Amino acid sequence: MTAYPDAPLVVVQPDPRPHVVSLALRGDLDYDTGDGILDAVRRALSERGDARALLLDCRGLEDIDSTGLSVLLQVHRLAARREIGFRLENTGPALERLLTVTGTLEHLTSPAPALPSAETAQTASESPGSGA
Amino acid sequence: MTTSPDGSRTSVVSVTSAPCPVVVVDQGGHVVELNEAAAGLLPEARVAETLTSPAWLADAHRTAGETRADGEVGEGFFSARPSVLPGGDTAWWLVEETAHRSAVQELELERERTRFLAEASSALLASLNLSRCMEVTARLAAGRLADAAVVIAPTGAKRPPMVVCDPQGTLQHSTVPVGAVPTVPGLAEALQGFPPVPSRWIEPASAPDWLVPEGFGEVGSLAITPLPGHGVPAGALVLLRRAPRTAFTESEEAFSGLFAARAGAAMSAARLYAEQNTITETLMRDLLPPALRQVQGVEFAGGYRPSVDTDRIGGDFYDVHPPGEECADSLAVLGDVCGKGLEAAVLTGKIRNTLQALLPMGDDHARMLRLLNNSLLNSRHTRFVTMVMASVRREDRDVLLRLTAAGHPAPLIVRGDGGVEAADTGGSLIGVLPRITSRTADIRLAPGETCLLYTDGVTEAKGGPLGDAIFGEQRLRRVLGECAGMPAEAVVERIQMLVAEWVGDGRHDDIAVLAITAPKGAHLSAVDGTTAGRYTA
Repeated sequence: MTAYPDAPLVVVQPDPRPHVVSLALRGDLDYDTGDGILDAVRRALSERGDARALLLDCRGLEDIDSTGLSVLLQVHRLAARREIGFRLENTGPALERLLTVTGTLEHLTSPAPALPSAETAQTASESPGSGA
Repeated sequence: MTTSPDGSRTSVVSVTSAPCPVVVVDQGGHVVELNEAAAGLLPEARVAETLTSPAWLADAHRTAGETRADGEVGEGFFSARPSVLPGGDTAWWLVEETAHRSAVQELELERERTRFLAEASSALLASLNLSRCMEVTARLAAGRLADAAVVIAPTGAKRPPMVVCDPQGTLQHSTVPVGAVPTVPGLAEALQGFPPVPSRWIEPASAPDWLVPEGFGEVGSLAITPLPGHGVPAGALVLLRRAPRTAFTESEEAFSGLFAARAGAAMSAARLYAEQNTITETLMRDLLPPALRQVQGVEFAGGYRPSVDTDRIGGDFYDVHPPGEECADSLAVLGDVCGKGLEAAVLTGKIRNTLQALLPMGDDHARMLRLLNNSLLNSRHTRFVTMVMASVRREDRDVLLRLTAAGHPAPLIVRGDGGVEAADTGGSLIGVLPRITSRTADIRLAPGETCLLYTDGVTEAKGGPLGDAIFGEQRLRRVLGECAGMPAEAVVERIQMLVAEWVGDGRHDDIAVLAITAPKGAHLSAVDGTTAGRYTA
């Protein structure tokens, strides 16, 4: 549960580096909040046409379910399509465990260079042992 | 004032100058005197004759001690108050109350209507069953708005269902005869939600037999009102009055409209609910896991506890495919589709169908998962499934398993000594990544040992003493350790029971478990399927 139900789920954090969009996720990322969070990330990205890297700070993230993971995959794909680098930051043990079990840790956390298309971005993340 | 009720300063002369009609009547009921206003009002009253009209005044005069009487005089409505004059005569003072009376009557009518509408709303909203809503609507309408009422529900059907309520309040369900709707003027329009045709335009004789309750007699008037629903018409209400009752007044029609709005909303809600329910039931029926049994000398038992939120069908599923021509092993699959509701249900159906089609290559898990992944890849969304596949084969008294977890928690194995281990398998989830990886584990189960496939509904179940702790994998391992040597069905029952206890009344996601057990103590002398197996203790 979120401590403040009306508080925004996605907060834009100031970042000194140019072309970097840093977003902090707050509260639960699940079936109920997924669509809202995805929309918020989309909005934040479209407001920054110069973005070259998208950082998702997961420090404030509480529960995440399968819909939440689907949202992270969607955001990753969104970034790859726009040739924006994507990184998850401050992933806690629960999130890391989910990403490990689902075999998506490497896909979502490998440093993503600026890539021409989603296809290449995802291929690049494939490597031996990614399913471990 | 020229008089006072005690008559102490009254003179008869003053009666003539009274501003309201006054008639003086003696103890015998004869008119003694009446002023000009009274003479105009009561043309039949004559001095010295008995007062007969209006009858209510004559009656009141005969009944000694009346302090007030009222009634109609001609078109108007009057109240009369007596004052006893010296000498025993009584002067009746008549005060016109027509306007007041009609205001009171209107107020009373409005109050009664409001009361009726409130009662109707409670009665209508008490049920989400369409046919019950139609019955309530017909009964209320027949009782309050007309002599009989017919409620017709709009459906795509050629024969729309209808409910007739006759003047005795008897309800009858039937259907509109094929093609009969256009024969009733205004009915087709009402069913489409167009505003009602004024009833005076509808010839009562045009009412066909199917619309009129048996033994109703001649139809005096007919009104057809649409039942407006939530954005779509919810049906039509037909009101019937017996001859020779007059046609519906404009005010009555407007009131019928108010009632129809409430009835329509209730019927519409009931219909939407029924539709929603049908969809949910259809989907659930398809999602219901199969009843499992022993297949080729291996025990299978499954347990599925859907989320309590009925609007959130989850995406857990399991299937056991017995060996076929192309594949010698049984193939068990347990999976969890991300998300909830309709989208999850549709994806689950697609996955199960695809897997069914891929059964011939059931011994090559990696290939099967790859093909499934390709078939689910979609550029518009990132919905995925995580699953475990288990190829199961009996070898002597043991059971051989090949397990592949694709983005799913690895199955747990409980050994004969109560030790619990996780199968060394893993891989990526299916449906999002262009290329997937997977690692298969080979496991041998001795008699009495069980392999448990489960969805994270088990480990993520929130509850416990404070209601906020997750069941967790450690607890599941501990529970499973206590299940050593149990038959598959008992393992599933025990885990389900403990998780249900853990959750209590709280919300939970879908929970699915599937146990694969090497039967204990039973030995099949023949497992090739051509001769009957012989069991030994």
